[in-house]
Amino acid sequence: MSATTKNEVLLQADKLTRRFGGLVANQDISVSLERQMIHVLLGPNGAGKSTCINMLSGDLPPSEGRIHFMGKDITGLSAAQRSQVGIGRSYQRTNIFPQFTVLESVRLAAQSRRQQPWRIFSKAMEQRWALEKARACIEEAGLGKRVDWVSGVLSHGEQRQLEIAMVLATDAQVLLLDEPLAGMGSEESASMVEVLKRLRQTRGILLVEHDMDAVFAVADMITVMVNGQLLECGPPAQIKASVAVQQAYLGTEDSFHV
Amino acid sequence: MDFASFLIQTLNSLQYGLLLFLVASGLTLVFGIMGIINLAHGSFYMIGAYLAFVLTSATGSLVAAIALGIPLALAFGAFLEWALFAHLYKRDHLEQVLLTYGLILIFEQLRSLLVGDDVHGVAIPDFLDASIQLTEVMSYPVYRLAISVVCIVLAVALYYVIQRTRLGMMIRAGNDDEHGQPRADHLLRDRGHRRHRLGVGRARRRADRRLRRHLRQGAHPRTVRHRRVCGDGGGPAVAPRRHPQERLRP
Amino acid sequence: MNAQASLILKLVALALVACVPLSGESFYIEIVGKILVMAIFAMSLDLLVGFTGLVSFGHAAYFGIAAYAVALLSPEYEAANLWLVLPASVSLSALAAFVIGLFVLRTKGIYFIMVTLAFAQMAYFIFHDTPLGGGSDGKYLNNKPSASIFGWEPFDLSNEVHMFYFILVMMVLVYLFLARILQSPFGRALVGIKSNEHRMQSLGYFTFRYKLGAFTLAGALGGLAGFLYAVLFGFVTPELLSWHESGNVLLMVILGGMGNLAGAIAGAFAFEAMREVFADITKYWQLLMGGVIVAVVLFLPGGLAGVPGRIKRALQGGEVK
Repeated sequence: MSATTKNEVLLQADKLTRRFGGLVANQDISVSLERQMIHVLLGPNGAGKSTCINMLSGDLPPSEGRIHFMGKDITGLSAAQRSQVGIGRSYQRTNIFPQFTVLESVRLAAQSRRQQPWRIFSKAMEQRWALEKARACIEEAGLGKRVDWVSGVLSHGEQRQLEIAMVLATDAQVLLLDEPLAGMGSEESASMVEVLKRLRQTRGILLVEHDMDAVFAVADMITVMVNGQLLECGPPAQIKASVAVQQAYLGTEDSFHV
Repeated sequence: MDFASFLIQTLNSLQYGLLLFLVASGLTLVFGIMGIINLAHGSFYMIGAYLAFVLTSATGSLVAAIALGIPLALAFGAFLEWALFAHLYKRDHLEQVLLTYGLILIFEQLRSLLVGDDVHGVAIPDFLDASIQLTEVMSYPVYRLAISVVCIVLAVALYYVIQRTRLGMMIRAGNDDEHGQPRADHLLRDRGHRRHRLGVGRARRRADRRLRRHLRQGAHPRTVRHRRVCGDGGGPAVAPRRHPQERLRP
Repeated sequence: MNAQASLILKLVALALVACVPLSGESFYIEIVGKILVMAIFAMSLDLLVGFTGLVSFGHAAYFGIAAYAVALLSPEYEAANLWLVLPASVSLSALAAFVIGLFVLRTKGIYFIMVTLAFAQMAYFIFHDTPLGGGSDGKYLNNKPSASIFGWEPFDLSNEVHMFYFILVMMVLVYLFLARILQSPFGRALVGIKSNEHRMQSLGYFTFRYKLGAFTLAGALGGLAGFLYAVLFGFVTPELLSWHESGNVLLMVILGGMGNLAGAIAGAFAFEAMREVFADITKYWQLLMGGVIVAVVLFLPGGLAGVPGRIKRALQGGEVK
């Protein structure tokens, strides 16, 4: 499959605008995501990053603008349909099945690829392919030790890893990750950064993140948003050097810690 | 239909609508602030009506009955909150449904045990016991107009409290939380609870029930049950095809 | 509770119920038969409420539609064939649930509760106010369906003991059927929808289809219960579709413990038995029943289904000391 060609554009959003009544949450935001690339959305609180990611994932319909995935227009597709074409997302506020075990949560995610709801007499736990895939994805997300734990009792960081395992089990080519490092300790954070780097090898990742150390450790491309507008887009070095970004968002050079 | 009967029907429905508004506002406050689905809301309405009957019989005066009834209603509301509802805030809504259904059965039976199943009436105070002549044959009782005025005053007061005061701000904050707003201030919710522990909402509902009770000039257990059914959202609120004031099986 | 103990407990309960006809008392056979019918009804609703997270307040509609279907499809003076009239009645309920589901499943939460109630009220008034079902007096089913297969008659539903065991077998089959379905990928997805529907959508599930499937299935099984009810008592009235019935079955499910099939059965037994027993003891039975219900909610969160686990924990706690 030519699926792993570098520089292949996976996701292309053109001039997305989202209005809530009179409030313009996003105006003319264009983002593109290539395979083997981590593209970070940066911006202060209220800049519209989550709105943007919601439009890309199908949770919110855009007021204007188009979204293409691997050349196909997916603007009108629902969240479920976008998941089926290969876009997976995690949420800013942990969004899991708290009563399910880790294995069952990820198995359910894997099952979504071959749903067959009419087969009501087959046993879900006998679908070996789904179980094997679930275990592999749990391992890949670094949760191997927690396979049989109930999701609700995992630590915050582990729940974020679980979210990623679930997204992986859906064969997503594009991962939309909304603050995967939020609330993590430095060790958890570091291991998550490793996970992200590993995932980048075969996929494209769009990341919303506040943790500057992590952002500059993994980003290939950064888009800075302020007040729902796109301020600047470019490689990390360009963003670091940008006067406009520093004035609008980063304050002084000191806040980089790089 | 001539104009006079049209006017009377309009007045009737307006005045009845105002009463329903008061009952419903109590229900929505309890659901909004406390997060409790109270199927027994209509039973409180019934209790208010019977309090009016019992206290008026005992004291001989409706005014005295209202003065006594409000603190009693407060105490009763506070007791129920302490004994039952306080344990339900974090539970599934459906368990609240089950508990309040049990309460309906209890209240209904206690009413039957304590006051009996007969129809009772309460005398209208002299100063309201008059009619306004509309045509030669039709007149409209002053008492009903007085009820409407009281309802409007209460509605305006409620609007003022909710929109303009600090207390109202807390109530609205509690409501937002109920609708899934992230990280609503839990302190505010707790204070919302405390407000309800004072039983303010219940006392107001009681007063309103007492009015309604007078309006129909008799608290028949069946009509009361029918009201319960319509008023608490558990009943056929979508299909009350009969005139609500008819006395019917629920 | 481990699986083995649970199985033994269920089999003992089943054996006890199966002994009821030995009493020879028609009264008890009919009451327990009715409770078994309600148990099927409660399990069908539990599929929606307890496993899919859809609180339907109009489930009596499907119960009543199938009950009316058997009364209306049976010829006036002779018996209908069970093997035709049973699937026909159940299918009608399933069809009604499918069509109504297309509308109501677009709503959520309290709106879903209200709109299911609204549709059930429509069904109620169709039978109550039109000549179709004999108005508020209802309709008699003069002859119980015959179970004959090409002249061979394996059992006779007009015999009360046969009828009882027919209902009991149906209840066990419904239990096994639902237990099996809940193990399937379909069932797991339903539980996922209950837990977090939004997440299921973002994982690529078209949750509407799953919910519609569950709603239709629950309607069909509710219809089966209504069919059995009509055959057991030999008459139908619009009250079978009333919101009281919808409310009662919902209370059974909550009382038993949502999301537990055995709990739904226990809830149906407890609810109906309380009504019968308390009404027998005193004319103030509502007071007792209300008191028990309040006590269950306060002291048994999770309903009756949680009782065996509590007993076990209490016993283990005792051993440790």
